[in-house]
This record gives sequence, structure tokens and C-alpha cells, in this order.
Amino acid sequence: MYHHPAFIVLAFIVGLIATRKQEKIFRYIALFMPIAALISIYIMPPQVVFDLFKTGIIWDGSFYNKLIGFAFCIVLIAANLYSIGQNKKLEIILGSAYAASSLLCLFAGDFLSLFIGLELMMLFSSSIIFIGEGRFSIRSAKKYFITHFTSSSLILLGIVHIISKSKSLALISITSLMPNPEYSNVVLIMMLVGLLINIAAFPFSGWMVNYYQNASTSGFIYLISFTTKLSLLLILKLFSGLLALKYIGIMMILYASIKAILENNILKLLCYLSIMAMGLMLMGISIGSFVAINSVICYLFIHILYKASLSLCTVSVIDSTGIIDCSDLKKISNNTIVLSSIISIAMMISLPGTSALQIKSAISHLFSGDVFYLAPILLSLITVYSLPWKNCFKKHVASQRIMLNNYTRASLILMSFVLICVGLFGSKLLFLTNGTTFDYPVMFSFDSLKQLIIISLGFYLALKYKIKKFHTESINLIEWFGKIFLQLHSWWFSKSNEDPPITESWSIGSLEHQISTKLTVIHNQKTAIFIVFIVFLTILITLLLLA
Amino acid sequence: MMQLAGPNILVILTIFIGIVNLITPFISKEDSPVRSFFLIATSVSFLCNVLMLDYLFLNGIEPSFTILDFGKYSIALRLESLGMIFLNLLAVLWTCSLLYTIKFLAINEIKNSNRFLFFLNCCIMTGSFIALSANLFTMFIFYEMLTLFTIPLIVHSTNKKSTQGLFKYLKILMISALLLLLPAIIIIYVNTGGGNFVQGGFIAGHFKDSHAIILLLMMIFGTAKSALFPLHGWLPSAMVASYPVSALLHAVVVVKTGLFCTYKIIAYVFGITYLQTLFASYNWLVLFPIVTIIYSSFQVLRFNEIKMILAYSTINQLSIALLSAFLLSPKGFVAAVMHMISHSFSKVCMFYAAGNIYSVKNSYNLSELVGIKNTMPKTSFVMLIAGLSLIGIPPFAGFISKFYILLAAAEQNNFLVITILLISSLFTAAYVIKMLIFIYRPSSEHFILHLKLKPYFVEASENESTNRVTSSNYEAEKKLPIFMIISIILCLSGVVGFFFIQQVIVKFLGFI
Repeated sequence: MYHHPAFIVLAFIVGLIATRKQEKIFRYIALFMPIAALISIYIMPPQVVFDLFKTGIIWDGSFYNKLIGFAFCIVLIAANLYSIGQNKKLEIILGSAYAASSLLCLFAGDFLSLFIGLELMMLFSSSIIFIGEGRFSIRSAKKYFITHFTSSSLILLGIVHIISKSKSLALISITSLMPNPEYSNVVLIMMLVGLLINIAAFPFSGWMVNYYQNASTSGFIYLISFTTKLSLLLILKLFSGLLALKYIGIMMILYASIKAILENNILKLLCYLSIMAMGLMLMGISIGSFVAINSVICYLFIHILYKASLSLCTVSVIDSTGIIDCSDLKKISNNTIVLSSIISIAMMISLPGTSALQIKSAISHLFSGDVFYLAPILLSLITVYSLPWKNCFKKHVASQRIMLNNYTRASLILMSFVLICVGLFGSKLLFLTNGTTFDYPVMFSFDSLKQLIIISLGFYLALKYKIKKFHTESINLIEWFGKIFLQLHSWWFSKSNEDPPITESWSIGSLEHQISTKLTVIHNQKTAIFIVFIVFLTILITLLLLA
Repeated sequence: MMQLAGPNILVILTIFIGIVNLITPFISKEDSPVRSFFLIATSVSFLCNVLMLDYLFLNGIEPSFTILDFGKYSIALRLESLGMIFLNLLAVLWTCSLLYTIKFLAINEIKNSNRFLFFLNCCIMTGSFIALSANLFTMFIFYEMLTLFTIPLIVHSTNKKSTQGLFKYLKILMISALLLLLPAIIIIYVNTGGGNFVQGGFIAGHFKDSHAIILLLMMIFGTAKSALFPLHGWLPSAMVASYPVSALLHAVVVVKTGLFCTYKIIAYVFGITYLQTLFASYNWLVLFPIVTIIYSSFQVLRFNEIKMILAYSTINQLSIALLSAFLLSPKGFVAAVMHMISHSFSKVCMFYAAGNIYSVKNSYNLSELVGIKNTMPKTSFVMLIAGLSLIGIPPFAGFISKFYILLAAAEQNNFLVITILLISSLFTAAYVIKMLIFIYRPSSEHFILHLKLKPYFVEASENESTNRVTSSNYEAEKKLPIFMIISIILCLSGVVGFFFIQQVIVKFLGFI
């Protein structure tokens, strides 16, 4: 029990809270915490089962979970480093708690631990947005909480249904339950909808795009790293092989592509790019084969790392310059940021020579001979096109000088180093997670050439054709329903507060009013109590006499 | 006549200790350490006695005795599992109530504390008698006495508003009990020959199905203390009383008595099995709490007054407990009892935290909570935990009871109940988040420095006529009496440690 990484992180969080006024110790704890979690993940046994007061709690230390757990811990180190540099202690505490609950959910082998992890994630992530100090942080945090509470409720609906039928808390593949008439498909689909809300699927992506940007810059790094990735993993564990996911995935890619092309806000752009990647992985999950699942997990691992790295670069620029719009970006004269960005973008666009290309190609080939084969192509093209290349290559414009503190520099260097190792030696590094290397039926030269063409095309289009970008808002159906409800609620109660018309009708209410105002003796407090007491005594005596 | 035996003596001793607490306020000085010591020591002794009764009960000893016998009707007490759970709850919350109320009265300069404490203790003692009641007659007598004992507490501050509130409170509770509950009890006594509580019920076979259903409805609506629509109006009206009274009414005794009586009627008068046959074709009994839940959920969003929000929240949560009981299954019944206990702890925390804020700042509305997190960080934290528990966030008490209810409903494939419960949680989240946002909203230093606190809580060096705070780090709650803090900590530990408490509840309910 004590080896669970979530509890290790939790113990360190207690230390963080206790030492929040001692700078040095606080920093050491914040930095050592993810390392301790990493070690505990490495030594975690494949499965731990224990009976806590007749609840069968299961912790699943499988290879997949460990791989993603490693990614989470690396991101946590980088995020903590950055937050230390920004002197954001509350973000570190809340971000670490958010990471701990993600680890609890990640290694959950039973529905109860899974749900508890999800709820705690919701709580801590809402708090991170709440303390954002922006004009709309509080409102965003409230809407974020309600959105995720709705999704948790839908997930809970499915969980209690499955537990009541299966009489067990253990996680099971829900796709295999669907043909079983004992299980209600409607409820299982509601559970899927809950998870889809959590991965910001269309039409629920508003919670990520609209609200994340209202957190602080250091808070943004924590936020973008955990919820969507973990929920995708949960869909993989529970709903792999479900055909409908393919269509949902393509919808996510199409919707996020259009938005990404038009979006001017850097943070929102990062969110849209994330949604596109989620869409691709969702399509892979729909296949359900061993190759598909392996590819998706590895792509998710890389995605977590490069997205965190790119977010770090972005927020460093925002914090130093105050620029949040792509159109205001200039050439940056800071080697650390530039190099980190190049490495992250290289992984994001799956530059030939990186393991990202190998893995993405494996996912693409799952749809060979299918129209859905175009989806990864579209994703790569739009990713390249939507990035603000033109601003970075503007001639006759002075470059933006950015000074970084040591902690920010260290976090960028750490992420770059990890990405280089993963990018170049990805398959060989997997031995660290007790896993095996993976081979895919990838036509290396064909895929590299194809990718080069796509990247070049995207690059050319970005430089040649400029679309006017602006700030977009993404749809969140739950927010829409909430607004409609509140309108109806305020309309209904404003009407019912009007004075009723005076009518000459007999009603008990007016009779009572007449009696109570005119016969004051009954309305007198003491007399009323006395009368009631006498009545009570009379009845009691009568009953006793009758007995 | 009472039959004296070892275990019976223990029960009598428990009652006697409780009665000692009634006279303590009159034989000690107001706000004196002696009074505080005796009141709290007595309540702790009461709790210890109850724990000893628990031990006896779990070892198969169920003392029972009759106090007064009038032939068919008798005032009798008996230990049984449901009653023991309720008695334990009362014993724990009595200590918490006294710890809090003694000092609340002092710092808020509420006069006539003797009378206040006397009737507060009367209410708890009456609740204990209801918990130990062996038959319907006993339960009814003490149920009505509880209504009467709460009257002086509600109108402790005699003004027009409290009198109007009291009138409505009495009207609904007394009329419903006398016109519905009492006739139902008489009919049962006449037809069955008695009214002693029996495991599995005793009414089956004595009435036609339709008559039995009518009787059930009369008894359910007759116990209006459970605040089922449309007999819920007394609860918001009774909020005119001070915070310790509101806590007593809404979390400790009165509403829980309503729930408890309804549970006893279901389990020991009708029996779950008999009710399952009565509602075999369709269980429309759940529709009553569903209507109440929907109504209270809509109403609660209207208000910005803290007490009104908490009142309608209580109505909502009580209906959820009744909804679980009306599932008419053993698991639903267990979940209902869990929810009764979990709600008690959560609501008491909220009320006492709100009482603390009121003591420091005279806050009535949500907007007056801004800046509280700076001057009262620990109280704000208690509100946060209690609020999260009410919403149903793990690992707090509210989640555990909600999970049990959902499992019970899922077992019956009752998706209507599950949907209503989840929608209700969403509404709860909406108003709790609204409250928490006001508490934790960042406020400027200028705003905090201009917070108007009560004179007692302003720093000594400050100009007392202005009642202002000197620094944004000033924690006014450090001046709150330690008893009030201890009380809240005890209640909070019930919210946080409910996972272990629920194991004990399940063990007791295994005897049903």
C-alpha cells in the first residue's frame, strides 16, 4: 500500500504544506517528490489486491500504466521546476495533488479507486483554475467543475450499474459487456459519454479550450498534462474495440483542425492541437487489436512529453513578454526556448527519424485501404499549418529577447533531454518499464517520404497563405444546457414573485388570513401554545381512558 | 411496572445522566467554568454509557422495560439496532452541541441561557427516548414532546419574525401529527391489538392492501419532521432561530427524528417484505421524495441568504434519505440509515461554521462571506470539507452514503431514482460552489482592512468604535472560544472518517 506512487506524492504534499514558509526545504521536497514517485512506479508489482473492509481494492502495475506513470512524473518534475521559478507555491501544491490523484486513477484496477481518482482530479484541477488570478478565473473554475461533475456523474452511473450486475469492483472491458442483455447499453453509452467529455471530444471541448487559458501559466502546464490523457487511457482500458470511437475521433480531428487554423490565442491553439491528437488516438482505440493498443499507448506517452515541453516553451514566452496572441509573436532570441520548441515540434509533427513517426505510422497503417487513412495525414498537415511560422521568420523585425531564470531553463532542458532520448531511442528505452521493444509493419522509407511531403506542404501553405486569425470560443454543450436552465429558472421565479391579482374568490388562504388577523387572541404566541398543549393533554387522557 | 435487571439499570442510569444535564443550567452561573464542566462531563458520561449499551447489544443483550402501562398502551423502552444507531448519533452530537452552544451564547450575548440550555437538553433527551421507544405510542408521545420542547428555542428572541416562524412550524407539525399520525396509530392499535415494534413488521394480514397503503401514507406524512413536500414549510420558517438551534433542528435531532420514525415504521411496523408485496406492481412511493427533491433543488438556487440555502439543502438531503428507504430493499434501507448519519455530520459542520462566521461578522447573505478566508481560514476550510461532503465528493461522508444509495437503486434497475439522485447532486454542487466561491474569492487588501467585525474580534490596539481589521493576515477566529473549535473538529472528523463509522453502522444493521 505504501508503495503506491499516489500515496508517496501525497505524503510529500503534506511536507510541502508544512514547509511552505521555508523556501529551500520546500523546493527540495517539490523536486524530490516526482523522483520518489518514479522509483515507486518502477518497483511496483504487476498487481496488488487487498481487502479494505470488504472492498476489493486492486492496484494495477501493468507495463502500460507504468509507461504513462513515468511520463506523468517527468512532466511533474518539469512543471514543479517551472513553478518554483515563478514562485507559485500554491500551484505546486495543487498541481502535485492533481498529479497524485491522476496516478491513483492511472493505477486503479477497480472502479472505486478509479472514480475516487477522477473526482479528486476534478477538485484539484478546478482549484488550479480558480487561483488563476485572471478576470474570468473564478467563473471558468465554476463552469469547469460543473462540467466535470456532470461527466463524473455519468461515469458513476455506469460504474454502479456494472458493479450491481457483476458483483465485483474489478475493471472489465465494457465493450465485451455490450452484447450481454443483462447490461443496459444506454447506461454504458452514458458512461462512455462521460469519458468523452473528459477527453474534450466534440461538442464538449469548450471546457478545455475556454477555461484552461484562465489558469496561471504554471497552472496551465499541470492542467494540459493529465485529465485528457488519463481519460483517453481509461477509454482504452474500458472501451477498446468499440467501432463508434473511430467516428468520434475523426469528428474531433475535423473540428479541432478548423478551430486550430483560425485560433490566434497560443494557449487555445495548444489545446486544439491536443484535441486533434486525442482524436487520432481514439481512432486507434476503436480498432482494439494488440498493435493498435500498443501504438496508442506509446503515442500517448510521447504526446504527454512533447505537449508538456511545448507548453513550457509557450508559457515561458508569455510570462516573459506578456504576448498571448500568435499574431504578436516575434523571433525569439533565447537558445533554450528555441531549441526546446524545435525538439517538441519535431516530435509533434512526427519528423522523419524520430520514434514519433514510427508510432504514428503504425496507427496510420491500421486504417490502410480505408478513407480514415486520411485522418493522420490531415492531422499532420493542419498541425504544421496552424503553427505561427511566419511570425518567427519575419524579416526586418527585431527579435524578442527573453531572459529565463535557472529553474525555467532547467525544466526546458530536462524536457528536451527526455524528448531527445525518447525521440531517438524510444523503443530501446522501454526496458526501463520492464516492457519489451515493439516492432511494427512500417515501411520506413515510404512513411518518411510521405511525412516529409506533408510537412513541407504544410510549411509552404503556412508561409504562402495567411488566414486572418482571431480568438475563437469552443462549444461546451453542458455550459449551453446550464445557461438555458438558468434562464428558465430566473424567468420562472421572477414571474412567481409577482403579487397575485386581487380576486373575490373563496380560498383557505384568505380565510386563514382573515381569522389570524382579526382574532388576535388565537394568533397570540402564548395562547396558541397553551391551546395546543391542552388539546394534546386531552387527547392523551382520552386515549388512556379508552385503553 | 419496570423490571429491574442489570442491563435495565444501565439504561435507566443513562437516562438519569441525561436528566442531570437538564438541571445543571439552573444550579450554575451563566458562562461559568463550572457550568461548562458539568454540562460537558455529563454529556460525555452519557456517551460512555451509550457505548456500554452498544457493547451489551452487540453481545446479544437487548434490555427492555415498561415505564407506564395503561393496558393496550404503554410507555416502554427497548434496545434495538436502529434505535441504537440513532442513540449513538445523538450522544455524539449532544457533546458537540453543548461544546458549541455554551460559548456561542456567551460571545453572542444571548440572554436567558439557562432556559436555552434546558430546552436544548430536553430536545436531545426526548430524541433519546424516541430512539429507545418500544412501541408506536411511546414514539408518538415523545415525538410530540420534541415539538413542544423546540418552541422556546425558536422564539428565544421574541420578535414578530420568530413568532410568525413558530406559528407556521407548530401549525404544520402539530396538525399533521394529530390529524394523520395519531389516527393511524389508534387504528393500528385497535385492529392489531398492540403497537410494539417487531422485526419484520406486525401489520401484515390485519388490513386489506389498500387500507395498509393508506395507513402507510398517513404515517409517512404524519411524521412531517422528515419535511416531505408539501409539509416541508416548517423547516425554512424555523430558521429564524439562532445557529445552534438551527443546527439542532436541521442536523441533530428534529429532522433526524422524522427520518428515524419513518424508518421504524417501515422496518418494524410494516416490514420491508410486506411493503414489497404491497408495491409489487410499481413502487410509486418513491415519487413523493422525488417531487420534494426536484422542488427543493429548484428553490435552493433562488436564495442568497445562508440559512435559507441550508434549509432547502436539508429538505433535499432528507428526501434523498427517504428515497433510499422507499426503495423497499434491505440495501436501500442500509443506505438510508447511512445517509441520515452522514448528513448529520456534514450539516452540523456547515451550521457551526456558519455560526462561527455569524459570531465574528454578523453575516446573513452569501455576499457577506467575501474576505472570510483571510480572517477565518480554518472555518472556511471546514465549510469547504462539509460542502464537498454534501456534494458527494470522495472520500467524505456524503460520497459513501450516496454510493450505497446508487448501488441499492442499481440493483433494482431503478434508473429513475439514480437519475434523480445524480441530478440532485448537480444542483447541490451548484449552490455549494456558489457559497464556496464567495468564501474563497480573492479580495483586495483594502477590502479586508475594511471588513466590519464584531468588537470582540477586533485587535486590541484598534479603535474599537470603527471595528476594523489592521492587517490582511489578521485571523479573527483565533479569538473564538476553544470549545467551539473542538466541537467543529469533532464533527469534521465524522465527515472525514465516515468510512470507518459506516462499518459500525453495517454491523448494527446486521441485526435487523
